Amino acid sequence: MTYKEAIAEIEQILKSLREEQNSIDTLSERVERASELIALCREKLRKAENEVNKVLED
Amino acid sequence: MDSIQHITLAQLQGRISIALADTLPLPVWVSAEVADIKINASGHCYIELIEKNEKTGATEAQARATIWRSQVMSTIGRFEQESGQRLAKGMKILFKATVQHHAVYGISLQIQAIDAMHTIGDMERRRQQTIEQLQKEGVWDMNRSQQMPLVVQRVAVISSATAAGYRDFMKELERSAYRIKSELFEATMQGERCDESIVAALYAVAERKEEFDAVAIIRGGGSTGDLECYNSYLLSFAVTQFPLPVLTGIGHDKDTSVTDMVAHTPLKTPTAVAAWIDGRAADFDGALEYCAISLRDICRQSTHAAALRLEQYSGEVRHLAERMLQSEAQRLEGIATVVANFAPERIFRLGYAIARKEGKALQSVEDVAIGDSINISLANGEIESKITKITKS
Repeated sequence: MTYKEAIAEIEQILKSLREEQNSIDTLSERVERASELIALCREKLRKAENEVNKVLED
Repeated sequence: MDSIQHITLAQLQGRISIALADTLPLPVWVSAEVADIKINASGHCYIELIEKNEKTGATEAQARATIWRSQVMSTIGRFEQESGQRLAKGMKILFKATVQHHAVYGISLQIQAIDAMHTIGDMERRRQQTIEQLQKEGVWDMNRSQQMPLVVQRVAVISSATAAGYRDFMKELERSAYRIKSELFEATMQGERCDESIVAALYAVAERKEEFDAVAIIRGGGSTGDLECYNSYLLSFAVTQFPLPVLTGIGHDKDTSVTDMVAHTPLKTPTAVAAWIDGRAADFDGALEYCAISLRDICRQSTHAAALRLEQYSGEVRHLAERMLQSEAQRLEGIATVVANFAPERIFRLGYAIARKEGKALQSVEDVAIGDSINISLANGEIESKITKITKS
């Protein structure tokens, strides 16, 4: 999964959380998925940052 | 033998001298071109004067002139100071002269003064002619319209090998932090027909144009005068047509020459040309450095923005989930309260009782008749009773 796809899915989940007031049934599922994606993005971002810093140091 | 009446040669010369002195008011102002000029060992100056037909170029008049040593400073010195030009071959001059006739040496002119303005005017007129011709031919901006490389790394130098200006140029170039390759193409940089010499050097560079980024025409600083060939059509035209951008450092501070005007980048001195080349390399270096810094900044900004967004999303997920849980909890509370209000315990506590007939709660007096058995529920038990009276309200 790419960073872009992950962000898109996070935004989709946020939208559903904002709009669907009473969907408690899938709440924990969605929160879990969003947290998972955020962790994935953080990891990708940290990696990209390290690589960029390494390239720029040279 | 002496049958024919005659005079001797000396007598003839004598008569010519007298006739000359009687008929020609002297001194007289004369315009002519300098065909040759020499100062001999004793310090006297000898000038060959000429007048050519403007169209055909054929010689129409010629004469010798002298400036005695005692007057060299007051005539030539003054002329050169006022005109900024060295009195040289090919120059048009206006001078004040007396004419002497000598029985042995013939006619000769003694120059007493030379008018600088006349020569300046003549040179300016020719300079203007060159400018007009180049503009009319549409070549005026041709060298300037060429692309100067971002960095001039290989420069062809047209100069005299021994000139101080060339040494200045090389010294400045060696001080540069950048490795700039230069190659000398020798030419005569001043004096008669120096324009032809420079043009020949330009041709030599053009033949190897792939090996260079630009050409620099430089001439020793300090020497005034003799700018004439830099105003020549031949040289100026060659510069406009040159396949590489031309830099000039002709080293003069009075008028700008036509060569400077048509060059891609005219500079004052050879040192200035070298400094310009070094400066251009430094500018490019600086631009690269700036790009590197910008790249780093942009990368940092974008990763920083992405990290912020993730933080924001993470917070928002938490907040929205909590809000949803909270609002659902509140809603349930509300429902629970309503439900609790309908519980029988609460009804009994308020003093109400539930009357049922055959297990069905009574809602109207019309549901029962006198003699019917009904069951009354209270908090702590039930009562069996019989209807004895019905009053409808």
